[in-house]
Amino acid sequence: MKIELNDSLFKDLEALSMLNLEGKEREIIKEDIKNILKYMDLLDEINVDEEEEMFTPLSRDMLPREDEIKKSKNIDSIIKEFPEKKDDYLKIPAIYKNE
Amino acid sequence: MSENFLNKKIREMERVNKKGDIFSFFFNRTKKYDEKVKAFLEILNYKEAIPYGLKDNILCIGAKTTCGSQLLKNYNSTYDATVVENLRKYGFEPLGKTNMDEFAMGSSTENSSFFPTRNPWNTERIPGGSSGGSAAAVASGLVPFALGSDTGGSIRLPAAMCGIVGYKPSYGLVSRYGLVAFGSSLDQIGPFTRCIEDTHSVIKMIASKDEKDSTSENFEIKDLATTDLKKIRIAIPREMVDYEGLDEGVKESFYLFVEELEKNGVKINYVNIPSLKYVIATYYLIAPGEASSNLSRFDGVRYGKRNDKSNYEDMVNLFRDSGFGIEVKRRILLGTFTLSSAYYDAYYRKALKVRRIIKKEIDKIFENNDFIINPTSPVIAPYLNQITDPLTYYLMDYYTISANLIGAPAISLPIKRVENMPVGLHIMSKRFMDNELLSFANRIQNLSPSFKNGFFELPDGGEKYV
Repeated sequence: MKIELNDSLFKDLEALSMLNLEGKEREIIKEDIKNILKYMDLLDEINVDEEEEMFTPLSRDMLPREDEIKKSKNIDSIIKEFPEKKDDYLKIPAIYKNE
Repeated sequence: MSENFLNKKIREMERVNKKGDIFSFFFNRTKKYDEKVKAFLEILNYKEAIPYGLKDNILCIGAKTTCGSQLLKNYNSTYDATVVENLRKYGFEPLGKTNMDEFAMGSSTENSSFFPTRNPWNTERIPGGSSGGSAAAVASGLVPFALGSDTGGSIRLPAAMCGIVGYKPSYGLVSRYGLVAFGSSLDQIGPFTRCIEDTHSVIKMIASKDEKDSTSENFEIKDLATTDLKKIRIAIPREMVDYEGLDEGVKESFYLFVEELEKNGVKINYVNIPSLKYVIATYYLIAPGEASSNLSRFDGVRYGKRNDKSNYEDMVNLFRDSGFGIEVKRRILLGTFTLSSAYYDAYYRKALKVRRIIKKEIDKIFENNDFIINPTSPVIAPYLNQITDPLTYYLMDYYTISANLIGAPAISLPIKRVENMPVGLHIMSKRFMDNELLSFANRIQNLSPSFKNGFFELPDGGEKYV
């Protein structure tokens, strides 16, 4: 498949990836990904129309656990890792923008 | 404590070594020799325990878990991985956290954001990766065994390059709870050891059905059985031995070992698995996709150093920009691309379908063969900084990737040396034929010229611990 990995598409990918690359790094990675995608064209020669996707090696469904309330033993150590906190609450910058 | 092979040997050592407890013995060795190979990121000091090396993407309370990344350089493990808990029941505690390619992305351990680990056989060369620290620690005799994780060959490749045993169990055999996820349908934890009996001892201790990992299975690791080599049928895929990137010396070593197997009655069948041509393309579409999703949790909100951005989006972007290394960014972007709605069908979905074809073709081979063998790596360990192009490194995973794609167990054993660097034999079996695989590997390990006095050899000059 021919893909033009142009600046606009790459910027979109950065945004989706929660990255905002520096100029030189952006150019290096863009070129690398272009080369890697060129290699992936190898898959164009194989017909997969009749096949189903294989998401996992598991041959069974993964059963969910029962919903149970359990007290975690690790609460204190998790809170200790918070970069910013007020009492035991995690502090983060505002997620809304003033417009 | 159960008296398995490894425990017995360690106890024997303890009797011989009167100078202190066994943990101190290895602790002191590591303090003395690790500078040469730089296998460890953090060294711990427990008393009254048997030590092992723990890859730094597996959580253990009391130690950091950095995943070889600046982004997590101050992150303290907030819980124990199930494998750590399982080993503790048998009296084992980690001697340290071992170096790795950042977030297990790489085949050389050069992608660690801290420092590269060096190969104990030649410190100018890479140890392989991504679990290079674990491999180098065992191959230097700094620990009796170590744990690593394997998403596309990250245990088997460094094991081959460092001349030890590396085993990726069947997907689901070992709980992944507490392993920082890279490719959730591919990742598996496994051991590095110096002989198959140790591999067997370790897997017996760490394998468990775990309610915290819904992909884990109930599976009994049985005692090693005696394998009658005359009843063993082995497939060698022509696509693998005819691979253009296969080094002549590695090829010759492989064929010499195949001759040895034949002399001992093993039936060798040369087979075709046409879809092997697509394994690297398939893997490098699926694994980065899973990684881009798994690594989205590293946003600087709940842990990591907070930057001064007052806006949430800017804070997250800066945290990730300054924390991730270039290989991780490359794979996140590649994964985001293949998962994005416009390209999902053409890339990601297609790769999942090719994965099914690869599985079908390999399953077909296992209808008439017990194992598939090939070299573990097409080349001996390259020199540090010798390879700079990412695609060249990706191609080095050609021989190991299919086991991850289909969830099969696979093991690498040292067979010979080329330019005094180890070469590995890769053996893969059908999923959940781990007992048969380990018994077979145990039966043939002494056919390797590198196997002496019950262990695969350590490098010249390396102080042997037994």
